[in-house]
Amino acid sequence: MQAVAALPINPVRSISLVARGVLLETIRRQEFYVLFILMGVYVLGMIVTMVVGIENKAVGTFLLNLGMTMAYYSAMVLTLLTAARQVPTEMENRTLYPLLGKPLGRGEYLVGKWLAAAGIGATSLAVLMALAWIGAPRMEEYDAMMLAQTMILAVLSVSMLAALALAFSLVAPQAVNVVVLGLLVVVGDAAVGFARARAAPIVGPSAAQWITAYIPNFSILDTVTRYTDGIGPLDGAMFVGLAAYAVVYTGLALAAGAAIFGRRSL
Amino acid sequence: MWRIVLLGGFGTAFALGPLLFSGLRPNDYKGGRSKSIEDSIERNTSSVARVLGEVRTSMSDIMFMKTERYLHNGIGYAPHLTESEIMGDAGSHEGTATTIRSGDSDFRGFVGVLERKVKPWRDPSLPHIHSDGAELLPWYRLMTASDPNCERCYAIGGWWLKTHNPEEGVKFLEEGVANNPDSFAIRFMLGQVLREVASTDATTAKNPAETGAAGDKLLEYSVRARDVFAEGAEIVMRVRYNGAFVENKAEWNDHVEDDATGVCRMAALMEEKFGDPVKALEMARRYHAKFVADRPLEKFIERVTKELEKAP
Amino acid sequence: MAGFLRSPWLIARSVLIEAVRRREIYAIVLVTVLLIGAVMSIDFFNLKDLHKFYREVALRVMGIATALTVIVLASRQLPREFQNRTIYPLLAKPVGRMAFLAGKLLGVMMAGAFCLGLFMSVYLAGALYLGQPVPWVLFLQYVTLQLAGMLVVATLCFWLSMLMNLDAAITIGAIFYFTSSVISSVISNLYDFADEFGRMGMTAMNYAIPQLALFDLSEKTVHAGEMWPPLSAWSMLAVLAYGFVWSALYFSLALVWFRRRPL
Repeated sequence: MQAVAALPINPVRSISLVARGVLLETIRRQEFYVLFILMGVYVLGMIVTMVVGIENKAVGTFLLNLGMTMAYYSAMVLTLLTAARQVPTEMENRTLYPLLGKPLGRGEYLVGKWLAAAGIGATSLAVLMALAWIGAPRMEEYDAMMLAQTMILAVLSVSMLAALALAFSLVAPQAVNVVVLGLLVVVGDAAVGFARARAAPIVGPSAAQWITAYIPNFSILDTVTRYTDGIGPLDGAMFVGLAAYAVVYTGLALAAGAAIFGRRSL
Repeated sequence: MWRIVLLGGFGTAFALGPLLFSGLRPNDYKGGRSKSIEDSIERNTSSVARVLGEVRTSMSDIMFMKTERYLHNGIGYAPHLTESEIMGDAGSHEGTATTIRSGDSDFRGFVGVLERKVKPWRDPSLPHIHSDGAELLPWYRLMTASDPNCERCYAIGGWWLKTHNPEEGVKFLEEGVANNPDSFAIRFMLGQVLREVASTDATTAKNPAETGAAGDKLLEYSVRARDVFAEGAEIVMRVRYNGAFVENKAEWNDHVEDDATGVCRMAALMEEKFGDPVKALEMARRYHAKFVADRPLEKFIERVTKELEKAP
Repeated sequence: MAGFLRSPWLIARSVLIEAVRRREIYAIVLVTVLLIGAVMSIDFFNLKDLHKFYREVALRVMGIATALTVIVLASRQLPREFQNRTIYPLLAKPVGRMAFLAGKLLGVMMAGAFCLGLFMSVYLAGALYLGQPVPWVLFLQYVTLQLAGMLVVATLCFWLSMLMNLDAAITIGAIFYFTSSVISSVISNLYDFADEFGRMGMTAMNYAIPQLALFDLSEKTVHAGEMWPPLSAWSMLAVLAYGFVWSALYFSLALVWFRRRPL
């Protein structure tokens, strides 16, 4: 195994091959059914809205917010389910062993899986966001720059989730991985605030603030409501800071995942 | 090797995360359509909201809806309570539609019949039965724990605590002030709860010795209430525009105006009772100049002016 | 045990044993209990006799966790048998496809009941520890209807897993479970805005889509008291019959697709 792994191979090519494998598998297993069904739900929503009618601007903005928020969460759920099952399924079906028998590093394998899961999430996000944006009435002023920032941060959020789900899938049962990360996605900010409020009387407010800041907070990468609220774009420092936040968590999850995976005896 | 370098680099950035990323709050901003009470009423009473049932536009709307459910013993009614009605006489509201259709207008046959059996439902033509509000309080605790900047949650939760446990209400609202230093609405409620604690202690005292202690407490809490109202009034002086009230000017709606005028009136009144009447008069004049037309403040100024003139 | 029941029973037992042996159910129970424990560890202003919040949080979270467990378990039974090729030796024995499917369903329901049983034990232990009254009759009715609802969801997932791949079946099953009450509400409320043709459509959809909300007695259990006595026997029977009809329909559809699938 050592001798095989030492063969000179192009890591970029290995990663892209793994990613391509996942994408082909997704198409072969017709997993995009889910995306089609979600798109159908959006179209149905548009029909319902047409029947009911939109009485005022506030309702128009509400629908835009609802559509974009649903798009964001749907993409996150799809990413989570895709990423969390990759390694456990391959191990259970024993398809991992021949794959790693090839000159392919475990880190590259993991990065390839991450690229594919994040790619599937980003594609779903783009399709559903586009449907929501085109389908909803835009009766008030919204900032175009903020929309661009919202999309970029949402893609980074999806990527961060894919990396965390892959890393956790190496140490926790699949169901626990999905439930814990799912909770962080859905009630992230509230969970962090709640944990902070609980920890403050025990360790003091500053320590509580410090400790809870380590909990991955997806809510700060979701700026859909800021966009639909008509608030202007984030300043450069804030935007770069948020992007760096997602990159650090993604990078750490992948690096830690690769380290854990590398030491594991298969 | 590269794995160790990457792990070390990202690990260091992660370890310093609280320092590097603590200021990242892109969704902490004042105003915004989702936070506007008027917009919220328009959304939640619209046909679209009606069709979607109990889908609401924000987490805090969902939690507030939960408290309405608890107030009505689990029955879901169409939105009908204003904020001031939640914090006061909720009324009987006969005729408000339930979220589950009534039998006479239900096309769903046995499905509708079963839903009315399984879910909490009551004929909407009957007066509403309200719970005493104690069971609502955990939701306010949860709302403020998850969103410490929710002023409305502190104010309404504080109001319920005024009845059920005013001492805890004071602690809760002081926490609200600490988390929202610029909130005059929370200070307005805190002042009222402090007065409640003071009056409760004074009236529950049974013997002369206790009355003395209660009297001390009355004074202590009343002075604290005076100071809190005064702080709130100063915030109003700083953040409110000059002139008579204009609906929705600078996102200043009638609920905000009620709290603003309330805290200023109480600040002047408490200063007169537990401080210096001359200072109280000066405060009232300053507040009145800000609001231009506020009848209670005008009457206060007239009364205190006369009393000060009569005084030796 | 009668011969024709023996095969389904053996299959059901193997499903249950596998579910019980896997760490997932215990992990889910542990995470759920920690979550509820964290929420309940908050000091609610030193107020005594607050029952509703505990009931609401515990029953809601436990209900969702059980439903997700059943959705995952039910969705993966048939695809995994095909994928791992373990179905071939099984069906080579004198086990009909109907008996096979019935055994799988029974096993999933036994695993779901095991999971719900664990949760309810934790709930009752928590209620007793906190000195809270338990509205016993409503509570038992709640558990019964939860199981009836799980039966509908399990049979639906069997059918979905025959129509699409495993992940899609789980996702669609979960989406249906979580949006069921919104779908019911939209059908009910959209009626007022629709024209004659639309109203016919709404009425048809009312009967054509299973209303999972009818199996959720948690709200009455939470607000139990003088206002909400237990359901009458007739109401319980009617809801159970409703659940049975939907389960039978989905089971039949799953069986038709299962029979048509080439080995």
